[in-house]
Amino acid sequence: MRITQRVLINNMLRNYNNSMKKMNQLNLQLSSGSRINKPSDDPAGLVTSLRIRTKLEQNEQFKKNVGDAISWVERAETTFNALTQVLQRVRELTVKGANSTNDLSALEAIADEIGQLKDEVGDLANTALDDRYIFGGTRTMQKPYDPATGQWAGNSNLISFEISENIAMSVNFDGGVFGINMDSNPPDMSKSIFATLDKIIGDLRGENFSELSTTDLAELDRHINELLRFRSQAGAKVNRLELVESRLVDMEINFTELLAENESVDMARLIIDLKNQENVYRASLAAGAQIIQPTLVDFLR
Amino acid sequence: MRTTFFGLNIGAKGLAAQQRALDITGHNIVNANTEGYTRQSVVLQSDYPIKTVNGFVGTGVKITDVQRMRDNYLDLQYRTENKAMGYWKFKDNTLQKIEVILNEPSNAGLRSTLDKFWAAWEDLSRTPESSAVRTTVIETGQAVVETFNHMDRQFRELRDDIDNSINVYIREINSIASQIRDLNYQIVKGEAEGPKANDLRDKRDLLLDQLSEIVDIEVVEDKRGSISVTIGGRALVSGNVVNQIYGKQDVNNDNLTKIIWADGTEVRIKSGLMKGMLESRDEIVVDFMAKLDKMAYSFATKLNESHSQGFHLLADTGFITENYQGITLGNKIDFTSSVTLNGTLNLKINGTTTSVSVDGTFNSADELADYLNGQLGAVNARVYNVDGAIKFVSDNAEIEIVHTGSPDDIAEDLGFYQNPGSGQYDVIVTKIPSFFVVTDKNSPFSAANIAINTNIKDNVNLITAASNPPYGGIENIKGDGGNALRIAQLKYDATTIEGTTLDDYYRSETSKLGIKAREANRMVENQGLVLSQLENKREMVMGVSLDEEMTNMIRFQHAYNSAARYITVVDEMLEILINGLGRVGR
Repeated sequence: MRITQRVLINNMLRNYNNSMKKMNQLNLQLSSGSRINKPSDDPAGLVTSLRIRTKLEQNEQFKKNVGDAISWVERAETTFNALTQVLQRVRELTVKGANSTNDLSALEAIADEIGQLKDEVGDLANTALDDRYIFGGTRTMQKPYDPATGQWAGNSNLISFEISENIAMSVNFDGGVFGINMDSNPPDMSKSIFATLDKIIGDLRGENFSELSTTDLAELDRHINELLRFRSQAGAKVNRLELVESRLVDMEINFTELLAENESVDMARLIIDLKNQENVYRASLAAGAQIIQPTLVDFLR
Repeated sequence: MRTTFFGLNIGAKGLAAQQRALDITGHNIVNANTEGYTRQSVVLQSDYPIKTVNGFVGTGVKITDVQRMRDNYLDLQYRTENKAMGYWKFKDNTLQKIEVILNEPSNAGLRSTLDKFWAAWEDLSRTPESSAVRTTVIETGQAVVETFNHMDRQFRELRDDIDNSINVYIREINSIASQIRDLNYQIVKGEAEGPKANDLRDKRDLLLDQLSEIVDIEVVEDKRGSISVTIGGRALVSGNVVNQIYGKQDVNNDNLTKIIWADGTEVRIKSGLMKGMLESRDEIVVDFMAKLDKMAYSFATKLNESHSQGFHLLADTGFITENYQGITLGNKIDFTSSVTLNGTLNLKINGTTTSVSVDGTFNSADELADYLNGQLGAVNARVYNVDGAIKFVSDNAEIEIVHTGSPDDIAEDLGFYQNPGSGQYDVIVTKIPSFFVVTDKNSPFSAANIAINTNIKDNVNLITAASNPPYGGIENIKGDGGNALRIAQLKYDATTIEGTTLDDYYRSETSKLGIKAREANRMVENQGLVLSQLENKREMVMGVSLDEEMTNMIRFQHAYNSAARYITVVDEMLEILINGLGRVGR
């Protein structure tokens, strides 16, 4: 086999080039911190990578949704608590008023206070969260309860948030909380808390003591029990949402780990590889320099 | 009897031969780095002997040949592997460019913009009242549209670039062919007298090497030293004739270049850089563009479909707003038993009156909607069944139900009530605009042909976030994000495109591209190895070794010196002969 200078040089150049290519690749991975810089680096890994990135973003979104949902339900819960307290006070007053020993002025005073409490209930019905009324169904920009007319303008549409992949949960309560019959159109206020309070005021002023102590109290109790039911519903929703929330946080951690495993480089290993490659390169440069320089010309006189 | 000056002749021939050998050695040395140079080796033989009375006597040395040390078989192998190299090199190049266009994985590629778009719809489902959130939906949608448009543009540019390269290489092929023809002529002329035209052949072989990377060629040499080069069975160069190839615009292929012979038949190219370019332009890039178009089409049509089923916040959605005489609100038709209809429905579409005849028995609102769709024909409106109510939907056309009061007017039967007393006609559900529209009305959705409806861009309240009809007025649906939720969940819809979700499809296509790119890269590396091995083998045969030439130089120099000394000896002998004889006793 006849070896010429060109053969030596070609081989040398080719090996240098390969060395450089390897160093380039290692350098690219090191500076970007990622093992996969383009699809051809690892096509299968890329699919995983893209999928996990998407899931991470979706997870963020779900967290936001759940956070909002919790705000809604907790606001409703707070309102229910306040409402219960108001109704308890009304009950006390009604019991007091049902006592036929009261004179007209005392009854008037009680009626006034219940009137005030009715306004309070009206305010509670118009509870808003971030300028959106929470009891109006999807009619969120206008007050559901109009104190002047006593009409309920809200609807019974559900507001649902997506709390997890393809799972939506409704976060709102409608006028049913206030005893309003939302099935009829327009909503039927005849058995609502407002109607009951109005009747109590009327009965107080009309001195209908028997009504006060029987029907009216019974209605009040009915409302209070209904409220209990709504309160537990709200509580259950909040519990479920909090469970989902903590699960989402866990999933975020998992996904981030998976993504890192899939994409990132092992820095230590990479640096060692790079150093190694550098050494190989230097050694081959030195050796090559030794080999290609001398020819016979140097030795002839 | 020996001739007097016989010895001198031997010496002279010796000098000439060694000088000549030295010349050739010098030629080799100075051309050590010339590309394509084949070393030349001098063949010295002893000259014909003459018969003398003492037997055969040699007559000195002569140069019988200057050999060109070239292995033709290695050349053939090299050219065969070179065309594969050219082919894969270009494909690798193209696939890398496509990877750059795709820009995955990253936070700026299509995946990321799509994710942000879905996220915006999620936000809208929670706060449909907020115009800021609605604007975000538009902005993120715009980003998606722009990404599609941009990628499409870049692919087209890539395709045009490759087309330009093809034209450049067509000219290159023709140029090389002309040069080969010229060399053919010169070589034949030069070799007519006998000796091989070494340097000319070197030039010709170098051209063939270059050509072999570009296209797959077959080379045949004839007895006179002229070669013919064929591509796909037809001769590019044959003796002194060049058949040029041309690039012609192919109307069947978007006016891109087709490579043809002078008579119009297409050049059959099976390998080489040219084949790589043709495949890249016509298959790889076009394939991916088609997939991108498919994605844009599925994405836009699916979204529009869901969008048209929602309700927006503009006051003239025209749904019935009052409860009239105890009749239940809404245009629901009772389908508990089948409904038989026979009459006409009169519509005003953009001010033009149309009559739709309705005649048949229907078991569901869907059936009725389909029937009405069929009857509408060319009119730019669609009929949907939404929760049992019939709804007309049109892209920016205004539809009015006209109650004519004639006995066959079935507007009321279809649920379109007339508001009595006011004399007004209920304007029913007009202007549910499509979210995405085409910019070129004559083509379907594609990556280049997609934009957000300017009506929606101008008024974000036209985004149909609500899923419940606005019974009682739009105030009732301001907080309704049901349709937004439905749209946000489209990303899970496994019927979007080819039986998978949009995301899955994109991921698998990107991964397929990655695999192709890796394969091309690997092939280039492998071919590189094969080629360099062959190059080395060729070099070993035809390369100049300086050490070897130096040694030869010494050899010939010594021989020259010796020959010169011999001539001196002969000269002295002759001197004695000529000047010394016949002087006896003087």
